[in-house]
Amino acid sequence: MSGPAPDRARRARLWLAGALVLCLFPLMPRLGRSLREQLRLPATPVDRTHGEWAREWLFLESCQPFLPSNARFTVLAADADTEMALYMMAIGLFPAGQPLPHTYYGMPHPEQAAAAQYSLEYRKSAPENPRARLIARVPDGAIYERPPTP
Amino acid sequence: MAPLAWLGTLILLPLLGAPLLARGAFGRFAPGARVVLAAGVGAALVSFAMTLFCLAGVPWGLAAIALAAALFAAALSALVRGKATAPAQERLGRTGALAVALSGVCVLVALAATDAGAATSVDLFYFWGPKAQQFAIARGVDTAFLAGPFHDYMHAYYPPLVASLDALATIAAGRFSWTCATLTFPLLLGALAVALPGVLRGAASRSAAAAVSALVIAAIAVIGVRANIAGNGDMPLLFFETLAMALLLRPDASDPAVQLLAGLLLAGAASAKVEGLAFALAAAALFLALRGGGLADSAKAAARLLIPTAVTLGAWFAFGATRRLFTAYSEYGPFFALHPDHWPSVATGIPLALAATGRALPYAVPLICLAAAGRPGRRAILPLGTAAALLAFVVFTYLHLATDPSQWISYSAARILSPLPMLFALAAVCARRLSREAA
Repeated sequence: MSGPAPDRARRARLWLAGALVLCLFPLMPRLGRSLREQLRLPATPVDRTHGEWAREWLFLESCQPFLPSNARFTVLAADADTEMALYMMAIGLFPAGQPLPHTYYGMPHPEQAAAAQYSLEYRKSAPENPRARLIARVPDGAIYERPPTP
Repeated sequence: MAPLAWLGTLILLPLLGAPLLARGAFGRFAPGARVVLAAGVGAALVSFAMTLFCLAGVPWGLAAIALAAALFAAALSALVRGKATAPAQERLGRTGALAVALSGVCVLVALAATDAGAATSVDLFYFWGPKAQQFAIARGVDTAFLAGPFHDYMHAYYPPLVASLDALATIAAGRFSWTCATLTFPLLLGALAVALPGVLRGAASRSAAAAVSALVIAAIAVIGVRANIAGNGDMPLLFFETLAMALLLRPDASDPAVQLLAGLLLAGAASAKVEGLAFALAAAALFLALRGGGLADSAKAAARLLIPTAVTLGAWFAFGATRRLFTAYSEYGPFFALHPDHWPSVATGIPLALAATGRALPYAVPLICLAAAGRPGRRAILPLGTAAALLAFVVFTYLHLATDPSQWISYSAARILSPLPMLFALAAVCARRLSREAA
């Protein structure tokens, strides 16, 4: 393993060259965007990995002040994938709340969503339940309080 | 203040592993490496203590957990005898100095990418973060939360270390910090950059140890940033696996103290992610097969390497079984229920996933360095065999999915196979001589 000293030195240079290649080619382009873009502090931890998620995250964050911490709510969106992502993020963003899925893994669960007192509606033009009371409009959506189920 | 407290809790982990690493037998490591190794041991013992608390129904408390982990470390230190000194001072040289600087640059790039929100893992939001947050609120592994009808994505059976340590930091800080959770990626990469040259010093010259460490750090940085691992369990797993493998490649790996240390780090790997168990078993089995010696000695070495993993995972599965939550790693069906018809998807999906991660350079460059370094010595069987075992485990796992695994492979293969470059690079340390000279 030790080998003669020149051999060891050459090997070390080889590894160093390998590290340099990795640093220059795949790693640096990530930082090769404009300085202004680089210096912009992200609004969410996923700003530059999942742009759509970042918007969904900000939507949920902007809903937070309008809901009681232990609110029972559902999240509605135009498609099942977005609803799933919003539901999963809501579990983390509302740790004391009770998010209820409207769809889960693409499967509709309206009976779960029906038990929610509030609905957070992401990029929807009109409320899902016409009798729901608008609590607030937030960027990319609105929060509604649903009438009690008879 | 909360983010500082969150990260500060993790930075204090070396203190909890210190009762073991302070022993004279570990004087063979440079001070920086010793501190990082103590952090690894501290993390593994803290996670074990937290699982034991849950098993006993005792709510988590910061002081009690820290005390328990430190006591475990002190008890383990009774098993360590003798003294060892650090290798003689040696010049770092220009190559070594450049390698150290390059490692530092890689860590800074990882930090910048993470801070810019450009390396964050989806899984942090899907389960690592929510689990840690709920565990902190419940002051223990929240079985009601994990068993919730629409919480199966939380993967209740996943080994506990990452969620437990994040929960501990959350308890200390008073709230979960998503940003701090992502910063564990550059933090642990930086810790590896500090420790790895010191641990490899036994197996290579100072300059070579620094250079191969730079290669490992660069490969992990590229994969981490390109495959978005900040905040998930991959970086803690890589941290434990890299240090354990480097220890096992040292010429003094036959020393019981080194084996015990490697065993604790392998337990950390097995407690971090499911594939950590495959890594620990493969590495320990290959190490024992290569070392030779009598049966009694092999049995003792096996005990040092594997009992920490058996005990930590045993406690976790005992907890799962007693709470009727899980009894095995069984999310994808029975062990031998494979779907060979998915082989084409697996065979094409894995190379495509690697190619999509920095054009496969982080995997290819260490492999090229290995090939160019000359004929692998016998000891290279350990990292290369472990890499083969890990690849076989990954293929075996993908073939379990009843539906087409292509999508799953596309977002997971680059991460799950992220130990491969590290293993190739460490195998290069074991090369006999440069191929150019051999020719």
